[in-house]
Amino acid sequence: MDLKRRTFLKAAAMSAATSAAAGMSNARAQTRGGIDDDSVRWDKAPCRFCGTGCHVQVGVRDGRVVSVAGDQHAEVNRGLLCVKGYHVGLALYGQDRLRTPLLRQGDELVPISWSRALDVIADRVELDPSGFAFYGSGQWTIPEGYAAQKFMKGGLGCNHIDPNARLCMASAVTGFLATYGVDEPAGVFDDLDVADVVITWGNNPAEMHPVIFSRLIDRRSRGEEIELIDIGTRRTRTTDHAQRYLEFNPHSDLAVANGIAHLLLERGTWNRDFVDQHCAFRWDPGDPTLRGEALAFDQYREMLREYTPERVEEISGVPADEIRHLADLFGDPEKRITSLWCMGMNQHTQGTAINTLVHGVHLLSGHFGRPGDAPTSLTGQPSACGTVREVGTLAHALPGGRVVANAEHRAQTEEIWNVPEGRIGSSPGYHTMAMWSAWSRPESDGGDIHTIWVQVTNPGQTLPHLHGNFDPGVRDPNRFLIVSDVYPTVTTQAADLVLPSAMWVEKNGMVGNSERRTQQWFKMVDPPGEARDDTWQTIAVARRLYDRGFAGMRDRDGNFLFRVEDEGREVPIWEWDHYYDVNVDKHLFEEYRLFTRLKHKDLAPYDEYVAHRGMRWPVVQQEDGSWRETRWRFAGFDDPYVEDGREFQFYHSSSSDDRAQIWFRPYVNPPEMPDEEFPFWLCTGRVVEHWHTGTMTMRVPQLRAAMPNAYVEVNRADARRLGFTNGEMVRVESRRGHVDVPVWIGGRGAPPPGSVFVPFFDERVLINNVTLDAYDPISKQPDYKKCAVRVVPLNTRAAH
Amino acid sequence: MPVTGLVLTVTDEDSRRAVMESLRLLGYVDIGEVHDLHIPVVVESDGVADEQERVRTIAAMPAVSHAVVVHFDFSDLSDAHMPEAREFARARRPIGSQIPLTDNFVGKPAPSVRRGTS
Ligand code: SF4
Repeated sequence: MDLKRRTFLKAAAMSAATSAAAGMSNARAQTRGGIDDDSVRWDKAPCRFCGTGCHVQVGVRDGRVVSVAGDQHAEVNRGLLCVKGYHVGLALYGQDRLRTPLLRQGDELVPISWSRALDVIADRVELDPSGFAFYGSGQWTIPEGYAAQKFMKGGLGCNHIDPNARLCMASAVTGFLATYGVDEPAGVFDDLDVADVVITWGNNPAEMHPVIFSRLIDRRSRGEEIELIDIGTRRTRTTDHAQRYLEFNPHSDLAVANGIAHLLLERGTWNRDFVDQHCAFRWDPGDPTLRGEALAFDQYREMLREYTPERVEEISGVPADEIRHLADLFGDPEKRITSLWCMGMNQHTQGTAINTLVHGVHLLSGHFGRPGDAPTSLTGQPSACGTVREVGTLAHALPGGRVVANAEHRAQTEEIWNVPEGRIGSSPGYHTMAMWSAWSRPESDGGDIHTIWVQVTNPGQTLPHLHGNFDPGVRDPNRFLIVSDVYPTVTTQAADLVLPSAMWVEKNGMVGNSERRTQQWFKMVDPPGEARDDTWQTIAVARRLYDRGFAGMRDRDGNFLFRVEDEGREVPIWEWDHYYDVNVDKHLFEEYRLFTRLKHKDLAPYDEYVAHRGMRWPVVQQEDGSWRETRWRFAGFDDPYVEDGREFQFYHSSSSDDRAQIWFRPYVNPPEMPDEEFPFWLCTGRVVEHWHTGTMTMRVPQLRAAMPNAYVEVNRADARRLGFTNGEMVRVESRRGHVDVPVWIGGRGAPPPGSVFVPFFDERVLINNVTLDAYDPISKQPDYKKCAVRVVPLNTRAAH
Repeated sequence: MPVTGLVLTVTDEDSRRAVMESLRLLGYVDIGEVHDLHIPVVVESDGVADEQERVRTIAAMPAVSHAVVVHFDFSDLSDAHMPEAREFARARRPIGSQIPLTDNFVGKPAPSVRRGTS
C-alpha cells in the first residue's frame, strides 16, 4: 500500500474513532453517494446481523465493499459496532459464494440455468399448490417477506408460510398479544439511557446485543449508578457486569415472576391506581389459550398466595432474600426498571406464560410507560419484527396485524391485493414445527407437504431434533427441498434445488429492528455470478406460473399479481435485466404500507426512510407535513393514538376496554428433566462472534479465528468429578442423538453443576441432533434451552 | 492491510494517562483527541491475525474498561485471505483451552461493578 493512501486510511479511521469518542455528529461522507478523497463511495445501511439494527457506513470502491464504519448519525448505535458489525463487509466475500442455480441429479448438484430453475419450481407448485410450503426468515427484508406472503396467500391461496422466527421470538409475540392485544414492545432502546435498574431475564445482551448493552457501560463510565440484575441459568459476560446474579433452576423463571407479584400484593406495594385504571386480570382454567378468561383481583391474589419467597426458593433455587429484593425494587415507584429478554424466555415450553408474567410484574407495579420503565423483548434477527411480525409472514397472519381466520381481515387483504374474494384461505397454515413434520412424515402418515422453499435460513442446522424433523424428509424421494442462500450450508447439502441469492448491500432492502424501527438501504454492489435477489426469485416464479396460465397469479383484472408500472407501462420485473429498471422494493413497500394503518403500526412513505436512519412506528404525518415517529406506545405524552387527556390507553385491549391483561400462570415442570440415565441439563445458544449458524461469519477470517469451533462448557466441579480435562473430546448425548465436542472448563460462560452449554453456530457440531422438539402450546416455539443429556468421554483428545 | 479505528474507555482520569503512555509505546497505534474517558486510537496491522491480536492486546490493558471498534478498512485484503468454510471444515480443530478467549467488544467488567452473587 502506498504511503499516501495509508495515511488517508488512517485519517479516516481516526475521524470515525474521534467522532465516536466525542459523541459528535461530524463523521465524513455521511450522505448518500458521498465520495471521499480515496474514491470510496459511502452510503448507509443497517448491519446485516442482529435485531439491534446498528447502522453502518459502507465504503465501496471498484464495485466492492472495502470499508465499514459505525454510523455517527444513527441513534441506535451512535457510531459503534460490535465485532460482527465491523466485519460485516467481509461476509460478502467468502470464496464459496453460491453463483449459479444447482439441481440435484443423483448425489450431485449440477449447474442449471435460471429459466430451468423457475420451471422446476413452477412444476412443483402445479403438482399441488396446497402441498407447497414457504419457509422464510427474520432475515428476510420487508419487501422479500411481503412478496413471499403475497405469493403464497394471495397467489397460491395456500397459508403454509412460516419463518424461522417461530424458533426465536414467537413466544414474545404471543406474550404481547395476550397482554396488550397487539404485538411488539411499547418501549425503546432509549429506556436504557435512563433506567435505574435493568433486569436481564435469561438474556445475555453483553454478547448477543452488545451495542445495546454498551449504553449501560457508557453510563457507568460517566459515574451513573445502574443496578444490573442478571436472572439466568448460566453465568455469562452479562453476569460479569451485574451486581446481582440470580441463578434459577431451568424453567422456574415462572416461579420467580410469580414470587415478585405475590410480594407486591402482600406488601401492598403494587400500583393500585395504575392497575385500577388500566389493567384487568386473566387466567386459563383449561388448556392454554391466547385470550383466557377474566379473573377477579381477589382470585388472582389467591392464586399467587403459594408463591412465597421460601416456596419460590424451593422451586427455583433463587434465595428468598433475592426475591424480596426484586419485590423491593418493583415496589419502589421512584425507580425506573427495564426488563430485557430474548431467547431465554422465548425458547421455552412455557414461553407465552413467562412473557405474560414479566409484563404482568411491570403492569402490577406500574413500572410501565415512563422512559426507563419498560418490559422489552429483544430480537435476534435483523427483521424478525419488521418482516415477520409486521408483514405477518406467519402461517396464521396477514400483513399489518391481520389474521387469516378473520373474514374481515381477509376481505381487507384481498381488496388491497386486488385478488378475487375467497382467494385467501380461512384456516391457518402449518407453523414451522408442523410444516417440517408434514414434510418429514410419509404421505401414508399424514405428511402432506411435498415441497418446501427455504429462503434466508438454514433449517438443517437450526430445527430442533433434526433426526425427527429434517432427516426423514431429506431421505424421502417424493419430498423436494428448494433452498435460496448465499453460501453452501447443511441445508443446501440436502436440497434438491439450490438458488444463489444476493446478500445485504448487493440488493435494495428494508428491515425492522427490535424497537419498531424501520430501516432502508440501497444496493451498492453487484452480487457474484448469477446470484439474484430473493424478491426477484419469488416474482420470477410467480410470473412463470402466470405465463403457464396459473389462475392464482392473476388479480381481479387479469393482471400479473406483482404488476409494476412506470409511466403507465408495465415493467417486466420478472426479467432480471429489468428488475432494477424500477425500485421494486419501493413499489412493494408502498403497497404494504396500506396495511400498516389498520392496526396503528403506521409507516411513513419509502422516501422518508431513505432520508433517515430508521423511524419507529407508528409514524404519523403532522400538520406541517413532516413525519413523526413514536417512542413510547400507549403513553399519552408520546403515542399519537392515545386519546387526548389520557395518560395511558391500551387501545388494542383484548378485553375491549383499553386495559392490559395481567395474567396468572402457574409454574409447571418442563417436559424433560435430567434423570439417572441423562443427568445433565443441556442449554444451547449463540456466541458473540458468530451470526446464528455461522454461514456468513465462519467465512470471515477474524471471526472464525476468534471462535473456530463449538465446544461444551462443563462446570469445573462436574469436570473434576468426571475426570474431564480441557480439550478432551466427549459425547453429548440425549434420547434423540449425539454430538462429539471438546470440553471447555472455565470458559466464557459458566454453567452451574449439573448443566452444560453448547453453541449452535458450528455446522460440524449439529447440536440440534440432540435437542428436544417440545414446544409452547400457544406460540408453537420449541425449547432449545433445556433437555436432558449425558456427557461421556470419548477417550481421545482432538488433534491440535 | 487492515486499519482499525477503536474507542477505548478507561476507568478514571488518573488511569487515562497511564493507558496513553502504554499506548504510545506501541508502534502500531495512533492516538486521537481524548474526550473525557474515551480515547480514540487507530491500529495498523500487517494482516488479519495480527490485527485481531493487536486489538485484543489493547482491549486487555489494565484500566481499559471497554474497547469498541468503530471503523474497519479491509480494502487490501484479497480473496486469498478469504478461505471457504468447507476447506476450514476439514481443518484441524483447535480444542478446549486453545480456543481463544476473545474480548473484542465488551472487554472486562467495569471496576465499579461488584461481582454478582450466586
Ligand atoms: S451484530 Fe447487532 S450489535 Fe453487532 S453491529 Fe450488527 S446490529 Fe449492531
